[in-house]
Amino acid sequence: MAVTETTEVRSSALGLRLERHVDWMIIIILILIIGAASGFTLAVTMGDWEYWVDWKDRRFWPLVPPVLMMIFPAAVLGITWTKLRIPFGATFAVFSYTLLKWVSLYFNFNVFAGFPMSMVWQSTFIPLAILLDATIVITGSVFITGFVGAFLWGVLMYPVNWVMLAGFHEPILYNGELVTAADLMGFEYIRTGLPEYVRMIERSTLRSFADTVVPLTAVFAGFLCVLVFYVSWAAGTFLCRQTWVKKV
Amino acid sequence: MALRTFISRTARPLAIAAVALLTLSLFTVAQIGPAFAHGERAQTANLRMRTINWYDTEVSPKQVAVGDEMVIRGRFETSKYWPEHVPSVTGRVYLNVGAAGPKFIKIKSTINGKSMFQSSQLELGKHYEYEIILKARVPGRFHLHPVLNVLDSGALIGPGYWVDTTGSFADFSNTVETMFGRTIDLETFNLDIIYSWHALWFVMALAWLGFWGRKSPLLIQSLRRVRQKEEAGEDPDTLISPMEKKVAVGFMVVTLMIIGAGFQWAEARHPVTTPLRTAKMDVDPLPLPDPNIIIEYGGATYRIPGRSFQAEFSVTNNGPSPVRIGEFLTANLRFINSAVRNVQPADSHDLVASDGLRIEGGPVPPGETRKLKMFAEDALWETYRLTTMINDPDSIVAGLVFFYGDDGSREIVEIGGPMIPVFE
Amino acid sequence: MSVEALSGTTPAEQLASKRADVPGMNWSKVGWTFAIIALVYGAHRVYMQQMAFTVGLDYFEPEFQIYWMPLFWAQVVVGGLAFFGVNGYLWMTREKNPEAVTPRDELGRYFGLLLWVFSFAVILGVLGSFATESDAAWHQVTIRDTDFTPTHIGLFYFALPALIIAAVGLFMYAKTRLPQHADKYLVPLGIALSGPILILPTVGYNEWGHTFFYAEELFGAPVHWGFAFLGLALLAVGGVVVHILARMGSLIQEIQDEAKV
Repeated sequence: MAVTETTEVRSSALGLRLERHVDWMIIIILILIIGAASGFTLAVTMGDWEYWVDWKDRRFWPLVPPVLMMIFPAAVLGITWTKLRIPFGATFAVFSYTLLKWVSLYFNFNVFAGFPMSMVWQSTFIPLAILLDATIVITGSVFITGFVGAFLWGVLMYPVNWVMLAGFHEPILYNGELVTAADLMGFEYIRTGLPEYVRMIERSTLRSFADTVVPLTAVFAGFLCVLVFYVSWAAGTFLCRQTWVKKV
Repeated sequence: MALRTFISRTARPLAIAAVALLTLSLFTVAQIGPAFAHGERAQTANLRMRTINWYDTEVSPKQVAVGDEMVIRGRFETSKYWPEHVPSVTGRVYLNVGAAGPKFIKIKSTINGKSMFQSSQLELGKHYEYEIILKARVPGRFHLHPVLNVLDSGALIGPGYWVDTTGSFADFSNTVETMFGRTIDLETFNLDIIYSWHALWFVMALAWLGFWGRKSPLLIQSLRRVRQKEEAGEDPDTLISPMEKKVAVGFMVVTLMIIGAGFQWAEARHPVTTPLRTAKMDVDPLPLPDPNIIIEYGGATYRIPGRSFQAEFSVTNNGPSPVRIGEFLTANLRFINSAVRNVQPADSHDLVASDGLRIEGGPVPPGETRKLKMFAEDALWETYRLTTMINDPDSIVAGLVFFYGDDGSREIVEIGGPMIPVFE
Repeated sequence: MSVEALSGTTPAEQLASKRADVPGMNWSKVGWTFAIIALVYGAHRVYMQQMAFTVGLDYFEPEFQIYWMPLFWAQVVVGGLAFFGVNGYLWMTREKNPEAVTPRDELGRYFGLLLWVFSFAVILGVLGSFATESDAAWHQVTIRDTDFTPTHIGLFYFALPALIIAAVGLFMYAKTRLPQHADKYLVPLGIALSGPILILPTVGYNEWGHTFFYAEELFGAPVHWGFAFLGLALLAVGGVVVHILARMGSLIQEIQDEAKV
């Protein structure tokens, strides 16, 4: 294509070497900063649902984590797309988050506090991020990406993670009571500071509406994800502006 | 090649740090000591004296091997003098254990025989009997407490006892059978699926990242290209090639297919699932007869220099035999009248003042009313940070008084009211 | 595209690309920075693993005063000295004549800035995910006693001051060495750095909340949302990265053009 000629950037071996140095440094830095910043922000907002298997319910888990999880990937995608046309922002953000989170879950909840890993595993958002990234490549439109990609993000969070969770919801008859494996782990593994009643699960009257709890929640989550996507995209690209001030 | 430079230059410091850390962790593994108590002393005095009065606490056996069972049982009274600013047991409560984490698993817990798998609700000024059955999981020496979590008030902790667990954690398993006959070990349940599913998506993520990061150098060049396009008034979207769009479509299709297949697989494997439990457990107080002892509280003082708590009250004995005060219990501290009972601390952290209680006014004969003066004196007031009761805005104290009849009977009555500090 | 450019290099250009001749990333320094931070925090972590559930459960036990409070006070002293030492040094050795800095020198300083950002990122990695959730794990299995729990000593009084030292050091480095930053301030940089710095005073809100109105250990509770808000400030890192890429890109271009002449 003729276009490439005008955008051709001539670089010498020296330039290439230096630019690769910058690449390496920036990528390592961003994995750490995005992973840690989103890990920190999400720990103090949706952390509990991601720590405990007996918090992963039909009502809040498919709602709170996907909506909050959208913040960083949308902003990072906004930056990598508008500034670089590299559409891997969402996957990059989720990948960094998930990587650091596993390290944290293993060392903190397993090695330090002593819980079995099967009680303290995280959901995965990677497929949702790939869908989001792919949508912007295919459509080239921020608007449609929000409408389709972000909506899918909210809707598909539950099916994606049900693969890991389903087994924990198989019924068990325990001392004459009907419980799930997830409930049983929450009961058995002692959490002195986190009593059963603190769990934010299965609240609301929605559960009485003809078993459509999850689909309804998923659609609502999708709707919220669309909103968060636009806001966060705008915030990310706004904060990216090269504004300088003389006085502070 | 940047990668080679990167690895060769960073290998040495990283190796040194890794070896040093490994050595350090090996060195300190040998230093594991027993777990010391507990954390409750930071709670304000009135939160401990006027909330849950734990008594008859018993832990047995105190030495177990990994996999063995251990029982904590006892009773508690929910104080009539519960501070107004502290949400009480009439909201939500959960019977729990203080054990510095899941060193044990809790396999059964009851209050008055009712399962406490879920949270419950209690009444004030009543007595309850609880039992918690534990199974030892991790070897070591631990300080075990019964705990009652009260919604919006936090963990109210009962008396603690040292227990020893021998054996090896490797021998511990926690198997349970589902209603479909599947036997699962909760220690490792489903981990193969969780790890494989995450690994699969990590691979997909790396493939996607690798595809878009395949150009090297990447970042500065990309920024330049987009800027040049923008400056030339062209659409930077043309930087995405048709091939790249096709790859994105491919990723999207594969991703959706894997999601669909995974969900179907999970549904087929677990066709019947139930939601998490949230039911509230209901429990009635112990059906105790009306007390034969009636107390009229006449005030209390706390003399700070002498660590001496003094209370006056008139006691009416409507029972059949003379009664004497054998024990005063507040905030898990047990002041024992050695003239009536012989109670020795069970271990270094058992909060018993074996000779801490003195009574003026003698036994109360049946059918009579006597004025009694009670002196609870011990350093425990100080070491247990109850001297801070003078800092409570409402200066109200409470505790259980244990009366013992000559016929071997026991009556427990709660006293409570204002307390005046004496400073000199 | 770049590959074609590479094949078109002249011997003179290849000569110019010799390592000694040009500034580039000092990977050995990167490795040491990571190793030192990992070692220091790792040692702290190993200590916590051994001493938290044994002698760290109760502030009022004498053992706590022996094994934990001296560590706290040592951190306060070392942190204070490091803060003033690092920033004092950066200020004393500042660039007096920003206009005279050559592109080559400036590029070298941008690689220095990257090293600072890297230190900040590693410490943030330790704090954001790792140390924060050690505190989450701790509170959910123990009974909250005072503001000095082992995990708080590791998080609020160790990792957080370290992050502040790195953040302020990064800012000072840019301010005292990079000509573009000499007489003005980059807004995204200010936002990205002040967010994490403000986490320290937010600890005050957190501890006040836990004492006054919130008794549960729900980690996503509103009493923690102050932290979340400050974490969002790090979105501004995007602006910093774009600045670094743009400036380093044009400096590299200038140096290449110079080499061709």
